[in-house]
Amino acid sequence: MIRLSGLLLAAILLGLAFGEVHLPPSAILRWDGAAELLIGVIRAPRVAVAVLAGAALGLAGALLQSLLRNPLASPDVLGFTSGAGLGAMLVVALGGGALSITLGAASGGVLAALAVTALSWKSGIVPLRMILVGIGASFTLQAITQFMMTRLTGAEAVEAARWLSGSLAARHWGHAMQIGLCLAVLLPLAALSLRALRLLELGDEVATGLGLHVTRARAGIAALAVALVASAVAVAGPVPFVALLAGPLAVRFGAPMLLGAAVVGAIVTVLADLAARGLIDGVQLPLGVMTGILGAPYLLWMLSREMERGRL
Amino acid sequence: MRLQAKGIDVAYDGRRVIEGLDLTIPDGKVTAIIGPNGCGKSTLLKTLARLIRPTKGQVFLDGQDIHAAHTRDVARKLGLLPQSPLAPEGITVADLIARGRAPWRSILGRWSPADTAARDAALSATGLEALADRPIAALSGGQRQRAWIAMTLAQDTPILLLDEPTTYLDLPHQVDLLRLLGRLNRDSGRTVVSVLHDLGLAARFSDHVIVMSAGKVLAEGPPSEVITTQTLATAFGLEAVVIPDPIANTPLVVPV
Amino acid sequence: MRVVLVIALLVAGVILSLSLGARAVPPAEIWAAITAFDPSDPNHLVIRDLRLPRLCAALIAGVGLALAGVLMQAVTRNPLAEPGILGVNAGAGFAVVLGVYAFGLSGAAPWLAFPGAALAAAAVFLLGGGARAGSGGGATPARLALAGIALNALLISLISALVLMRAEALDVYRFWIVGSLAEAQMRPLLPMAATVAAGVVLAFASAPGLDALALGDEAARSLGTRTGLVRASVLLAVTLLCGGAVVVAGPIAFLGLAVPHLARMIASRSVVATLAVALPLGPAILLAVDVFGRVVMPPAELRVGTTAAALGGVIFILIARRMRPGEVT
Repeated sequence: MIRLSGLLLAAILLGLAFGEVHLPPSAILRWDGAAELLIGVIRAPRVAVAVLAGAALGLAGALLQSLLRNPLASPDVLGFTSGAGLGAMLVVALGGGALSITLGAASGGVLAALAVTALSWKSGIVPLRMILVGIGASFTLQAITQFMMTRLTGAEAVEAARWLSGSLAARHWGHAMQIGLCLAVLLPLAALSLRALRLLELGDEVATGLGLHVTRARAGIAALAVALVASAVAVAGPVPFVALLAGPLAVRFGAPMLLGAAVVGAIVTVLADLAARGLIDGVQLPLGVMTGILGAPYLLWMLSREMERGRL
Repeated sequence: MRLQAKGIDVAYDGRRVIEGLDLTIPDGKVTAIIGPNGCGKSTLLKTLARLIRPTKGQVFLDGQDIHAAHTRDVARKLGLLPQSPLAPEGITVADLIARGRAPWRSILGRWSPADTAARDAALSATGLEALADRPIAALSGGQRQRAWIAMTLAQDTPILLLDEPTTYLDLPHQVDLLRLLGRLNRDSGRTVVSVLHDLGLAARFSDHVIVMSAGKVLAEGPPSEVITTQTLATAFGLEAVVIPDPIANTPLVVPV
Repeated sequence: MRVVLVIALLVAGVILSLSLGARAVPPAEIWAAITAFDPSDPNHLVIRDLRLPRLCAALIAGVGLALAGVLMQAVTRNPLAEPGILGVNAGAGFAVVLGVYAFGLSGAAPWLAFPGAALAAAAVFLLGGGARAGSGGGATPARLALAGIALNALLISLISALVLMRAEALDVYRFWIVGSLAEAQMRPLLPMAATVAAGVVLAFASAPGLDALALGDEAARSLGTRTGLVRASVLLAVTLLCGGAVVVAGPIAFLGLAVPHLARMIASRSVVATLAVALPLGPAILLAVDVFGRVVMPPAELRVGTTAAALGGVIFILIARRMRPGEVT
């Protein structure tokens, strides 16, 4: 956990110090006008949004992975992220403001979660069936989102395309405040859910035996995960793979699952955003493209490892 | 008597498995539930443990409908070990046992000295002190099952229900485990109820045997009265003679 | 009887596809435009220069994707296998974009779709555990689908990155990333028709071997089937079929998923019969989807790839729901 905190701090400093415009260290140290504009006004809110959105996604992924006892059960694979993306997109198309985009993302995520759960229900939930249903749902939801895009005018479409691929360009402190407030409510709830999660890990029957209302706890934790995804999607767009990666990586670092996943999610997002805007000169890639390039090989690697262990 | 079922019907997967069953679990004794495959013995145990809600009738714990009571209060009185439970990846023996303390802790409750005492008692009762920091995955089958039993012991309940606790164990480990359950019963007066497959072991290590057949209780009582040529033929369709065990004098089943 | 229905559907699709659109052309005039072409008649020009190429593209892509779907489902013994979901189409698209933007190829770029499709198909089989089909492992639906979406996500991210690095490329990118029949006249139709035809021949040639494989590798081998050869020829056929389809229409999901299931309902379960029914059924359904997209909200046009992906997700869910838990894992 100490290593992870150190890494997070380093990632934040890197995110502040580097970017599209090169700023010599002497200028940073003098803190002149350029440094203040570049770091204080442009980069700091962007990094803050990356940290908070990444933490929310990482936490949401870890919650769902523990809940379904499957490392592949993350909100992006299950279609929740696509649902939140479509919800926000509809609001963008209708010309809504920041708050209504958040609400759109939240209701889209909740509806997708309910639909995927209902469609995978067949005298109980088999995690793998739910994953397959989620893959199908993402396909449909993304196609509808794409269609919505073709209905927008040129400038709106470009903005929406950027937003849909998960982008942190031009984030200001308002965005950071927005997700900060969401997390202020959701993080304590996540801490409270930890106890239930540790019992659910033992299986439904044991958890019931130990005095847990299994169905109630499940629904509550799933709702919490959806709320976390929605608050991240509202400010950063549907960034893929962060939620999937964070939990397993945190375990690898020997950190506690939930807290570790939040910190890893933040680190991954800040670094991916840094790479997206600073890796290739003169090119600003959306964050989501970068997490896709980093995350998809990880998913493939995890698949082959799960297969070798004969668990998939 | 603390745990009773009155007139219960239980359906499982839409099929009625148990019909009009009345049962009283004797306090402070080791009880075995036996019966042929598909007779509803596991379903009965799960119903007694409130995992399944009967479609008719009620299960009473201390005179109160078990589904009307707060599930946490039930968890302080009644512990349960399901068949082949799954342990989360990387969990250690001590951590698994500590999770058995859940019903005794409040939402924000800290780990108390009483929790430590209960955990250590469970470790020593199951002889797992030396393995406390090992991951569950590194244990042998017999040790793993003892760790799970230790978890239910840490729950510190006067009643303990176990669903086929001896499955997948070899004979010495089965005997070892049933002796452990007997010791737990003698030392603390716990009521122990397990579903067992092996008639010989059930006869040898229980005070009270419940024979189930087609969703009904066919016979119950001390092993020597219940395990007879007659019940074996009716319940299992097994032709057998029953002779006294040369060591313990309990009934010994010899198939014809 | 059902086969007659399929063919009637195909004929109806062909006629509707030629006559419907921003300028409606009556069927009689379509015939005239083909047999007695008059360059001064705008209707004739629309038919020859826009609608016929579009129809040809739909026929090529429909046949290619449908047969590729049948082959993939048979060789993986997996009802969810499909070139769109498994990333084969994205592999072909990525190779083309890479050719245009990284290596400056233009005329030769479409041919890169074939190595792209082949590599993606091989990768997804390997990653999905297809190589271990004999030793109890095997490609389970979940594995294969997950390997496919991971590969898909990776390739689409890479395409986006390539395209965003070259700002002027956005239009061509959309051309490749969303399946569409609208710009068919700009695609190399004739060579792709030949390629897909070769794929069709190879598909039918592999069918008996696939029927044997359905019994399991060991049983197939003891029946004298050369399992490695069957797999290799299927891989080649899938490459030709998908590559050709992607070059003329861009990546289109769903068709390869749905058509094999419908074809099996109509035909018997043998691979040859399924292929034979899928041959007219694939283009018939693609034409139906395309015509639907053209008439549902004029003057706007729904791209066939978008409609197909939306439908594809729904069908994927329906199939996944029908599987028993044992089949899922």
